[in-house]
Amino acid sequence: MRPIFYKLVIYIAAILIALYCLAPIYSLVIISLMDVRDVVAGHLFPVNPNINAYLRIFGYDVQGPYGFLRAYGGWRELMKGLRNISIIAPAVMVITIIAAVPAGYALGRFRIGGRLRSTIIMLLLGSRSLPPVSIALPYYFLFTRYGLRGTLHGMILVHLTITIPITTWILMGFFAALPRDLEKAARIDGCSRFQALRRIVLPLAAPGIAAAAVIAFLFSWNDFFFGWLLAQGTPAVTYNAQLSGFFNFQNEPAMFAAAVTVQILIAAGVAAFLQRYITELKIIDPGTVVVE
Amino acid sequence: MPRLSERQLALLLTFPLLFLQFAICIYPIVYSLWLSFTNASLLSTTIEFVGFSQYAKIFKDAFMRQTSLVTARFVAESTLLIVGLALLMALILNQPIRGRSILKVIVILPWALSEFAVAIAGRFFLDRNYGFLNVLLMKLGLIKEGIYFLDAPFAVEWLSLFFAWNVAPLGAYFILSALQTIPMDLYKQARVDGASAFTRFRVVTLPFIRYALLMTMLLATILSATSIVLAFGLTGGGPGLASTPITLYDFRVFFYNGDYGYGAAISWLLLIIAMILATAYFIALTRRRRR
Repeated sequence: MRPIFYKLVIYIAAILIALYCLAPIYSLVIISLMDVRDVVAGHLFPVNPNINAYLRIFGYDVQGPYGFLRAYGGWRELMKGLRNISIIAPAVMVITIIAAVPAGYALGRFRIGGRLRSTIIMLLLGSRSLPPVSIALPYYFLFTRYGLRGTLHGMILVHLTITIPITTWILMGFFAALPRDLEKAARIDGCSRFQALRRIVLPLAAPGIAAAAVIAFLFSWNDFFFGWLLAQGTPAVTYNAQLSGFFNFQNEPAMFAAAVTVQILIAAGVAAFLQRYITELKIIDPGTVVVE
Repeated sequence: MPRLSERQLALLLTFPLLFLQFAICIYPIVYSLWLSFTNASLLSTTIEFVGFSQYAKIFKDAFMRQTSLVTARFVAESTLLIVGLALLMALILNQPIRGRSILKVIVILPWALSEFAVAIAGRFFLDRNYGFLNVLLMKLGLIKEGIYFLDAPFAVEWLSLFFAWNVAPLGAYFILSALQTIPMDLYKQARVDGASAFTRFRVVTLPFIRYALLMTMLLATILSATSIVLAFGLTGGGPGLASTPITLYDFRVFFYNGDYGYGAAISWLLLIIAMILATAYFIALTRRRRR
C-alpha cells in the first residue's frame, strides 16, 4: 500500500471512531439546549440555543423563546438526590481506599501461601462478576429488616460491595509492579516495615491510589440500579435514581436531557482527569495491571 | 510487641477487606440461596421449604426460555462488537497521527457514562420522531418518515451496539497498552522480509496482543451477561419480551410479580453462570503469570 493512501485510511478511521464515540452525547446535549418545540421539529444543530432546561431543573421559572416556562415540578427531589450522591460518592471513595490500600499492599507485596492468595483473588474476582440483580434482591429484604432502607449509610454500604473488590484488585497489581529495591534498602537502613510503607511505598504508589479512588468515586456516582431499587422514594434517594422520574414526563425531552447531561458532565470531568493516569499506569480495569 | 510473620501480617491487613466482603457480599447471597429453596412470595403468608421445585420451575418456564435466547444473542453480539471495536480503536490510537491525545480523551468518554445515561442517550438518539439518527437520515434524503428503530426484530442489536459503545473503550485501552510493548524493530524486520500488512499483523502484532484480546473478550462476556440497566432504560425490555434479558426478567419476577422464591432461584442460576465465566477469567489470568 502506498504511504499516502495508508495515512488517509487511518485518518478516516480515526474520524469515524471519534464520530461514533461523540454522536450520542452530541445528540443528548443539543436536545438539552433547545425548546421543546424546536426539539420535536428535528434539528441536527441547536436552534434557538438556551440553557432554560438547566435552569428549570434547578428550580427556576424562565422566559423561553416561545413563552413562559415553569420550573421542573420535581426539582426539589432532584436537588436532594444531587446532595445525597455528593455525600455518598466521596464517602464511598474514602472508605474504599481505607479498606483496599492495606489489602492491596499485603496481597501484592507479601509472600503468602499460594493457595491462600489464589483463594482471596478468586473471592475478589468472584464478587467483581456478580450479577447486580443477584445482590440486589437479598439486599432489598435485608435492608428492610435492618432499617437500612432509605438511609445514606445503607447506600454507601451497597456501593462498597462493588468498589472494594475492584480497587483492591487494581492496587494489588499496582503494588506488585513497584520496584522492591528501595523498600529493601530502607529496611536495611533501619526503617520499620510501617515506616518503609509510609515513606517509600506510599509515595511511589500515590498515582495508583489516586486512580483507584477515582474509579471508586465514578462507580458510586454512576450507580443507577442500587439507588433506584433501595432508595427510590426515600430520603436517601440518589440523583441517578431520581432521573427515572422523567420517564413519565415524555413531553419534556429538554429537561430530561439536561438532567442527564449534568450527571455526565461531572463523570466525564473525573474520567478526563483519570485518563492521564490510565495511560501512564496502564490501569483501566481489574486484571490489566497484573499483566504489566 | 511480638513480631508477626509475613503471612500473619498479610492476613491482618486483608482482614478489613475479608470482613467487609463477608458481611456485605456473602451473607446476602447465602440469604438468597435460602430464599430460593422456599415458596416465599408476596401472597404466601407462611414460608415453607420446597426443596428444588423453584429450580425445576425454571426449566418449565416459557418466558425463561425466551429471555435466555435474548441474553445469549445480546452476549454474543456485544462481545463480538466490543472486541472488534476495541481492536480497531487501539490500532488507530497506536498510530502516530495528529490529535492523538484528543482522540484518546474522546474515546474514553463513553466509558465514563453510567449505563443509565447510555440508555437515555440511546433513547434520544434513536427516537422515532426527533432522534438524531432519524433526522440525519431524513435530511440526507434516505428516508421519508421516521423509523422506529427499537422495534422487535432489531431491538437486541441496538442494545448490543450501545453496550459496545459503553464498554469498548475499556478494551481499547487494554489492547493499546499491549500494543505499546511491541518493539518497532520487529515491524521493520518484517517489512524488509517483504511481509504484507496483513501478514505483519498476524505474525508480529497478534502474538503480543492475544492475551489482551482474550481478557477483553472475557470481560465483555461477564459484563454483558450481568447487565440489566441498559435494557431497562433503553427498550424497557420490549416490545413484549423481545429485548428482555434474563436479568431483567428475574427483576420483574421478583418485584412486579412478588415471587421471591422463584426470583431468588433465577438469580442463583445467573450467579452460577457468572461464576463459571469468572473462573475462566481467573484461569486465563494465572496461566499468563506462570509463563
